[in-house]
Amino acid sequence: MIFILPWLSIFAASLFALMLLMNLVRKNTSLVMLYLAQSLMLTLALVLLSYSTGSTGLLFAALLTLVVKVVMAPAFLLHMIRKYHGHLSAASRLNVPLSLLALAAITAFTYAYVAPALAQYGSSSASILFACIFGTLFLMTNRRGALAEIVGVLSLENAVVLLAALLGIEHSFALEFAITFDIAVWVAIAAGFLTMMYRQFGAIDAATLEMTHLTEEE
Amino acid sequence: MIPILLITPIAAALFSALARRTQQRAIEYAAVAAGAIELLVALAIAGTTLTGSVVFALPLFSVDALGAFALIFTTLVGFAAALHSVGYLRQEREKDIIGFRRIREYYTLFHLFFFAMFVAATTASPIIMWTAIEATTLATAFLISFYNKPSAIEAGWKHLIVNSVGLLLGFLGTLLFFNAAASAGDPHTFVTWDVLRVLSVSLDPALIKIAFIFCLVGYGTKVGLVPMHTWLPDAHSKAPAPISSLLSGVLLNMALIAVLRFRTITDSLVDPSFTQYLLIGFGLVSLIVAALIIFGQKNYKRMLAYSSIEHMGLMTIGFAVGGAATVAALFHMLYHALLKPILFFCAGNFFLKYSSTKTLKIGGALTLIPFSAIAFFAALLAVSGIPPSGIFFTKLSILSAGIDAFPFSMFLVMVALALILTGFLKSATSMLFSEPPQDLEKGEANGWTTVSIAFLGTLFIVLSIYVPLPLIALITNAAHLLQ
Repeated sequence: MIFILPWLSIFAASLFALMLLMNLVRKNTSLVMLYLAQSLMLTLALVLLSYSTGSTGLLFAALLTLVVKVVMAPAFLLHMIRKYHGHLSAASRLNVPLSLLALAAITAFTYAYVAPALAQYGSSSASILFACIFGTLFLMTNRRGALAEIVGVLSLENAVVLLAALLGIEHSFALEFAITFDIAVWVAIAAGFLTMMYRQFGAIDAATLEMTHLTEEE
Repeated sequence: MIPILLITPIAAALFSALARRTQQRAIEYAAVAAGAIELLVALAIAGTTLTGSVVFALPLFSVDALGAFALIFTTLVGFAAALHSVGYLRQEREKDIIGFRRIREYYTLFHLFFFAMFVAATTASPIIMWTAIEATTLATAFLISFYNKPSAIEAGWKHLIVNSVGLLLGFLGTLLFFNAAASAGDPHTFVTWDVLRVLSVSLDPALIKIAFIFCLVGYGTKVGLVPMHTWLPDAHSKAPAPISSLLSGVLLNMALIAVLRFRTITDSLVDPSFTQYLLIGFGLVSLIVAALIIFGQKNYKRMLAYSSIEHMGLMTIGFAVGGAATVAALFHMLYHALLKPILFFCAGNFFLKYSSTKTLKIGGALTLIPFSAIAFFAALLAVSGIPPSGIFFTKLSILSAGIDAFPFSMFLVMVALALILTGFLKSATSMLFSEPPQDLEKGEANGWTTVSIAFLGTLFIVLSIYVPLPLIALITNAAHLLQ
């Protein structure tokens, strides 16, 4: 286990770096490709962890991640983007410099308050994943596009899964299957909503929904 | 018994999904029959837990008194919602608002929702419970956007995104509990609630505090605690009335039970005042925000949604206070689970008659649909805690248990409750006693939409006057598990 710790730190840092990029890109296709890269990093990390611990559960988790998150979900989302002409996402609430400042503050907060409690669990990788989780929440709050929200939820799940694996939590294959199946169904339902949104509003942009219709008369 | 409980909704969902256009009646009767079977099985399971024993089935499933209590209110509301759905959807189809495909989709998702709820109530594993509660988000997303209107799609989308994020945070908290347990014991042990409880003395307190905060925020989103409540008023107001009743009477309670199970583990390890202050803080803010919004609310379904936030806040305070207030909060959970569906069913009947959810558009309800109007008014008074409603006693017990330790908080609770009663009376008098529109005919939609109200109403009245000894034993056992 000792020799793979630097690798795990690299994978955790990669997830964090990809999350930062997600906050900066404007095109939905770039966002999905970054998510694909993040899922690939997660798959590699799970394979490495499985190899070092001899856990078959983690190997199955890696395989499921590869199928659902690296292949199926991105392909599905890219298809939706092409179908509904959603290449460009809506503007973010904060501009790029302010977004970076906010992300810096989030990371500093994580290291100041969360990292000390995780000291015994390999604090650097765990803390960077916590920063990744908070950064992804920021992405979802800051960006208005429906697709950014979907990618945000999926990216958040990536960070949580790697954190769980890093902390050494054993899962049975059945449980991993249930969780990944849950994610696959979630993507399908979110895609269903994108279709309904496009039919109703002519765009897959959550900004068009914001408090414009909930006050309508029925 | 647990396998029967889990197979019944799955079988009913499959039957609904595969039904043909000519089989609408069969789908409806299957839903009512499934509801009745589930209710009977839940009662049988509850009966075996009265002595404090646990019902086991399969390696991953076991039902303690708290789980049995959850099954009781879930199946009661489920049976009533199945009855109401028949009348509600028939009426919507008669008006050509929906077609057979929507009805089939409705019942399939309806049964899947119950399957997920039963798994959540009967599983011994916190992770499976998380998966089941997340599955309810997926099952209800399309039910909330059922009418396919822009506002309904917005509500469904908000529900999906906000709850998914919340539950992922809850998942993170759950994993942190797991990690602490794995560090304290055998890392290959399958972690159940019991394992967590046994290992709790050797968990890392700092990590458990962080884990509990994530669980509270995560599952608290599903409970509807302010400020994570934003999905709730939209979802409750846009969903069909029977679905609103399920969200309010079943789902919120189940999520609160999840928070409480994590709380007992946290309390055995860190100073209980840590969770107590957190729960009182979230509960109080929820209650006050709900009171202020109810007072000025112009949409009666949103008013009921905020009332659910109010009651979740009050129950959270009750559980935080502990002792006798825990028993009172569990009774409150049961009474609220019986009353809120009545209110949503009546709201559904108003909607069927007036085709509007705006309070000002509902005039002369007492003349046009007297049964629903009287039931709505009586249920509003009962849910506000007017005696002899059972909720009067539960509110009184929570307030009296908390007044010594938290006098200022309890004072704020009383002010908020008074404000809510005023808001309710303001809306109800305008809806019931004003002039009815000339173009509407007198009469309820059909018998199904009144029998569901009568069923829950009768049960609530009986349980307000007389609480059977087995129910007292069940709730006392459940309260022990939370202390």
